[in-house]
Amino acid sequence: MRLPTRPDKHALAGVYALDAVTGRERERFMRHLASCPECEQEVRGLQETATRFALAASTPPPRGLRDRVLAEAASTRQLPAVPEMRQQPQRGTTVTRRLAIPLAVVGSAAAIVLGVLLGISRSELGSETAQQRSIDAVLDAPGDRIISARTSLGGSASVVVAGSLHELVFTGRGLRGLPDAEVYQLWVLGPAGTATAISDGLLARAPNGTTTPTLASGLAVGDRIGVTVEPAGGTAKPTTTPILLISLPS
Amino acid sequence: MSASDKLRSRAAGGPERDLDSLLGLVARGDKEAFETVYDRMAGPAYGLIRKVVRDPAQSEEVAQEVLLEVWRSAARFDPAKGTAMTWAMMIAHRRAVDRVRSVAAEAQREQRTATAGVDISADEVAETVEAAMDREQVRRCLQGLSDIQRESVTLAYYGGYSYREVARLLNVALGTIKTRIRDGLTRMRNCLGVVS
Repeated sequence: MRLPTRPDKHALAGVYALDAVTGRERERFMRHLASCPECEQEVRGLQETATRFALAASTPPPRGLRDRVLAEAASTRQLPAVPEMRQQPQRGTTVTRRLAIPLAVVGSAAAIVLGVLLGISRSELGSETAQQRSIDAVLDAPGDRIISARTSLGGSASVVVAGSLHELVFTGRGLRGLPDAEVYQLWVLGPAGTATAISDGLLARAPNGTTTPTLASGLAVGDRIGVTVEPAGGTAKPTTTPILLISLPS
Repeated sequence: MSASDKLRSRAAGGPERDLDSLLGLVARGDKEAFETVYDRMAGPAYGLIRKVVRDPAQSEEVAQEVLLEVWRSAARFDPAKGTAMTWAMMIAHRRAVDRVRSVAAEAQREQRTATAGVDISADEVAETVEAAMDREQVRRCLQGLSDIQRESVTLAYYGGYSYREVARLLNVALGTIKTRIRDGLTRMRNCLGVVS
């Protein structure tokens, strides 16, 4: 047997293509993929191969399923393609430019794609939560801004920043399911490296990957909002690389 | 068209391409296109989910979620990253794995270990000619793998186990499993004539 001459990062291509690698290891490999075109190519081929396994397992679905899915689709709103700016271009442009700097700091610019999103309506963001009144106050405040970003694990998040810039409402959408042992945790990251967990810090996630809108207050200039994957129960400080990082407008 | 010609045409991107463009229509809210997409994807999605989840009722629930997700997220499909079928099967696999990882399913996991493996003919009911061909080809190609390659690949994909779990189940070192899965899958790719 030939031994690899160095720890081979590419070796995860197979297990990644089969969706058999989890947690931090998976994140690390995703970051590696972003900077390794030939690995990406390999993974793509292996993913197509995995699809052939699925086709080979093809089984006629239960009879009623088709009608149920079609009926449900008829009353389900579709997601927009890639979050993009729809109005207020000048403001949006500034925000985007500002976001480019922290991205470079994270060092995984390719993994985290940021965009400005104004496509989410306020009614969508707001639903019944304990903090509803404060959340409504933020959402209804004049001059607020919506910033959206995609996470490096899939899905996206948007923050509505109050005109006062001291409060925001965070909503994640389409977040990937995590193993039972892991949770998403939301942080305010200060410029001096401080990290504060928001409320209990964990994002309550609906089955479709949408989180309950969560309020963060007491923000200061230079703060960023970050999401990390942490052991169930949460941690006092972030222990993994953020899958999402948003700089607040100043 | 012979079976192998048909497979070649698929490998060359024939019908898969059509599915890609259909998904483009779905992204714009085309319900008719979605019906066709459903008809093409539901069998593979449900079959794959059954492999991982096993329980028919739970599998049906997951399949419903997945197919609805195809409708919801059609605009997020990026043809540059792979075919529409692969995109959908990745969603299906992920959701199926999420389901078996829930606490309720934990008890059944040990039981599944014995059956999650290579027997891909176990659940056969009526099937289309195309599915039969896929099945036959995958079965044939699997025979070309070493035992450990075959077991680790099928446990990971059909069993929904992480490679760390696979290593534990087969009592083999982690590094070995990683390599065997990659080598086994690469052999499958070549045997099946997958181009990407």
